[in-house]
Amino acid sequence: MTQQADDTTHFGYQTVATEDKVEKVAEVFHSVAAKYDVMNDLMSFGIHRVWKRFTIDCSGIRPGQKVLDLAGGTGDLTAKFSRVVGSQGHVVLADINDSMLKVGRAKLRDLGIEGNVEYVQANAEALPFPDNHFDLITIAFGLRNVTDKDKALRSMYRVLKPGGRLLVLEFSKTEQALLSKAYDFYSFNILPGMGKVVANDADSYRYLAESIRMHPDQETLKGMMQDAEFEGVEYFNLTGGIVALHRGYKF
Amino acid sequence: MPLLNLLSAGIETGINTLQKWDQQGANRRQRLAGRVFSMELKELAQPFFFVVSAQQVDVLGRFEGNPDVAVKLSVSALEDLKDSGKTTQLIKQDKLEVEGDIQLLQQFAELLTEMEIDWEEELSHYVGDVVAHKLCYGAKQLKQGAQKQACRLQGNLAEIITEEYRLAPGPLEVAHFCDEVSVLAEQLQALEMRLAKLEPSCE
Repeated sequence: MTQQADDTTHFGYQTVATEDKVEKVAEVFHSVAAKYDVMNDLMSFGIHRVWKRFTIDCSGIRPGQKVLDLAGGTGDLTAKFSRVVGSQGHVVLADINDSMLKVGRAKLRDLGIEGNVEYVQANAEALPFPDNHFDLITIAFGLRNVTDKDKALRSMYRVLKPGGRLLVLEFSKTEQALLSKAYDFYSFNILPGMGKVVANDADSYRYLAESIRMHPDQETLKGMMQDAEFEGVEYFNLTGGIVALHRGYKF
Repeated sequence: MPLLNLLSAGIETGINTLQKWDQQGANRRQRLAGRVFSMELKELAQPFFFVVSAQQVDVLGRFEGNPDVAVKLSVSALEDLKDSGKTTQLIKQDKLEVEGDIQLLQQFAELLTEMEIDWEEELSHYVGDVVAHKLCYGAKQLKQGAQKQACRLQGNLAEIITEEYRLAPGPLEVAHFCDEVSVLAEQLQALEMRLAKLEPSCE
């Protein structure tokens, strides 16, 4: 019985075998990659841009630094980091999904972002980088989909330089009851419909809504980061806690 | 905080839209690539940081490095920044506080304020060449017409004042009056001289 519990994990509200989750998440993102940016704007009414902007303001990024944009998807954060760190700096856009990586690379090339950006297909649980390598690691709307979050956080801690920081931007739990009701209605009744019309894929967006509910809340994630040895961990609630930005340092 | 992010997003979008239209924009950005400018408006509590790169200008609300130039100024001084002659004057008037290279700052002000934008070309992307040309031609005509009308209105107004209501003298009248004054002055001078000649003989 315990053996069975160890071998399963959640995929939205379903319980699936641990080794299947990666594949299932991959399916979702292969399916939505092409319409990813359009859907982001539509679903969040463009607010995701403000969340990302806040993340960048909290990053303390400077010219010449090394940045890892994990689960960077279509490269919104990477584009900005690449311009700020300049020719002396270095940005790695890593994603486990090659469809997302391809869309991201095409988009960044179109924006004229080149020279200091590298594209790496990597699993957050086992990052293929040396110890103490990056000044900054960001993972925006990605941790939710990682199978073993603790392992991923420890892996990030390992590749972060002492003095570096980790930023986790992720959906979280709202504080107000009323907002929470409206948000639930929106994400279970309207969101899949929108996904059906725009990306022709209601299931992927149902998974999105469910996976957000299964993600640990602010305090739990803060505890998980502390368990992974991050220090000075704090979080900022954005838009009433629909999204939270967690920040931790390695000293 | 997010409100400030919204503001910086607006500023960034505005600047970069204009930059895309500006024919000199890319060259000017290339010269300033990698520079960071901190600008604090006295009207706002928090500075904004402008990161210039070859691709665009990024606006950040927080920056933990050292900006190349830090500026504190009031909105009204922004326009005067272009004129290098006025910079010292602005600093003396306490409208402008600068830390760093003033030359860089002038280049940055140039980047933001001296744009060469071909509005007709930009407009043509949205409405097509013909309509854009017609619109711009119409606007030019309108401007010329307005200027002509303004000129005529000024003439009419002057005429009403001088001829109709006689509130002020016309140019000929003024010239005539001036002539009369100078004749009078000459006469007075002559009289003075005669008096001066006669006065010693009286004693």
